[in-house]
This record gives sequence, C-alpha cells and structure tokens, in this order.
Amino acid sequence: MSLLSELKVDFVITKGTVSESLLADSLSNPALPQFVTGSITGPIGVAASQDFKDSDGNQLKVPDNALPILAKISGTTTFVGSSLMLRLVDGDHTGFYNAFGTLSAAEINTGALLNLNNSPIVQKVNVGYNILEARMLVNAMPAGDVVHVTLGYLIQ
Amino acid sequence: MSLLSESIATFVQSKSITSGSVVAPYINNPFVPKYLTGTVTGLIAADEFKVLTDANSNQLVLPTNAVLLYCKIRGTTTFAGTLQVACTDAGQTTTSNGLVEVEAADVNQGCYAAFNGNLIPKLAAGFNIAAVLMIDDPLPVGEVIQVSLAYLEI
Repeated sequence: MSLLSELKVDFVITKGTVSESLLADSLSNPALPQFVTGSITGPIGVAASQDFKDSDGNQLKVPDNALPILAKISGTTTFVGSSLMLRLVDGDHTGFYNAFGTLSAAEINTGALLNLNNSPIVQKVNVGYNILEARMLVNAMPAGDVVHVTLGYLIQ
Repeated sequence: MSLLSESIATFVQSKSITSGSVVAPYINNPFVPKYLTGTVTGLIAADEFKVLTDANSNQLVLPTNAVLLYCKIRGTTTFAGTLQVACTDAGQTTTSNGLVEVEAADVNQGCYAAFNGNLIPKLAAGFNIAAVLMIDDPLPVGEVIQVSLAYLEI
C-alpha cells in the first residue's frame, strides 16, 4: 500500500485545495459538529408524534454521548400555531428527555435555526433517549406536509 | 510514528497536493461556521453606526441567507457605555440583526457576543452589511475595533 492510498483511508481526495489548518481541524477539532438529517411527512394528529427518518427510512438517532447544539429546520407546511416540538425519546416512545422548544409553520417554511442549548453547560443526551421525533402539541400537521431537520451535535 | 501518522505529517508539511480536499467532517455539514473579519475606526458618534471593512477597505457583506451565530470582538478602546454589532442595508439608513451589547472592558480583553434565545434569527431581508453601532456614547477618534462574524448559511 502506498502512502497516498493509505491516506485515502481517512480522507476522500476530490478537487480543491488542502489547507494545513483544515487538515488539522479535521483530525482533532472537538468543536466540529456532527449531524444527522431526516424528515417527517404529515398527517400527524394532535398530541401525536412521528419519528424523523433518513433517506433510507431509518430512524434518526444521535449517540448516547451526544450534546445537541443546533437544529436546522425547513419544509413546506401549513399547521396552525407553534405546535411542532422537536424532542428525543427512548426506544419504547414511553418517555422523553430532551425537548427542544416549539416551532410555527412560518418559521419552518422560511428555514429556522433552533438553538438546542440555552443552559450555561451543554447537556448530554440522557442514556437511551436518543431517537429524534416531532410531536404536534395542540394542532395537527396536514397530510402530505413535509418537515426536514438537520440536527447538529458534539461528542463528549 | 506510525506509517499513517507519518504520511499525514508529510501531507501537511509539504502542501504539495494541490488538487485535493479534506472532506469527511466538512462536506455538506451545515454547522461549520463561515466568517468575515473587519474593523471600524473611531470616530463613531453616539447612537450612530459605521460599516465594518476588511483589509482592502471593502464592506463586510454577508450572504442574504446567513444566520449570525456569534462574533469575536477585540480592540483597544475607551468608550463609555456599550457597542453592538449589527447589520445595515445598502442605503445605510438603519441597523437590524443586533447581537448582544458589549462594553469597552469586554472588547479590550477580547470577547465573544452571541444571539440569545431558542430561535436564532436570519438576517432581515436586505440588511446584510456588517456594522458597529454605538449605544448612547461615541467611539473616540482613532480607536479601532476588530470584529469577526461567524455565520451559517441555511
């Protein structure tokens, strides 16, 4: 194995310019967020939930040691009120631990960035509660409406 | 030193590969901030603002879909009261998208200022030229404030 092919184990070489700082960042930057991306599709009834799924239909999960920091939300939806709550639940969907606030349809339709941590210390995900779902609090999401989410998190 | 780490060290030091990029943690990652850095120089009158400019005296212009995350502010200054990092429109008639206010002591030791709250606001339409707004008190003549603005594009 040549030196260059061994490098390809860790780095995908495409077109562009390699900068020294970028390479250093990619190797050791603890503040570089990782992310998962998925979507939900209505209908979702009042007080009902739906798990976000990736493009392969898999549940969106974050690692047990994740520290969620930001969520990018977009879509095309017409639900009423600030009803959509992002939260992390356990495998049985019997409880939730991390609730990330609520969003309105207007905020989603214009693209929103949700700060997931207002506390002075960024909180870890509670062990076992790492499945991302959307819950409609007081209003339903109409059939066919789609909401996309990209959840950014750090690893401790 | 392992073969791999030696390879990486060589890769870093030589900078000889000009048609490659390190992509794994970065590609399509919407949470890697971009940034712009510029300065303002006093005098800025009380309740007035001045546009930040880069080393080539160009205005700092953010993309219209930018979401301001935070800014790093530093300088050597003696102003009273507070300053605010904000944005203005092309006509430079008013500011919008203000970040939290900081005092001279914060600036002199170097500080970060960020939006607070659950929902981080997008730039108001048309207001994407970065500026420094003096709240109630002026920035004295000759004093320089440097600001690095970190933002995401969504």
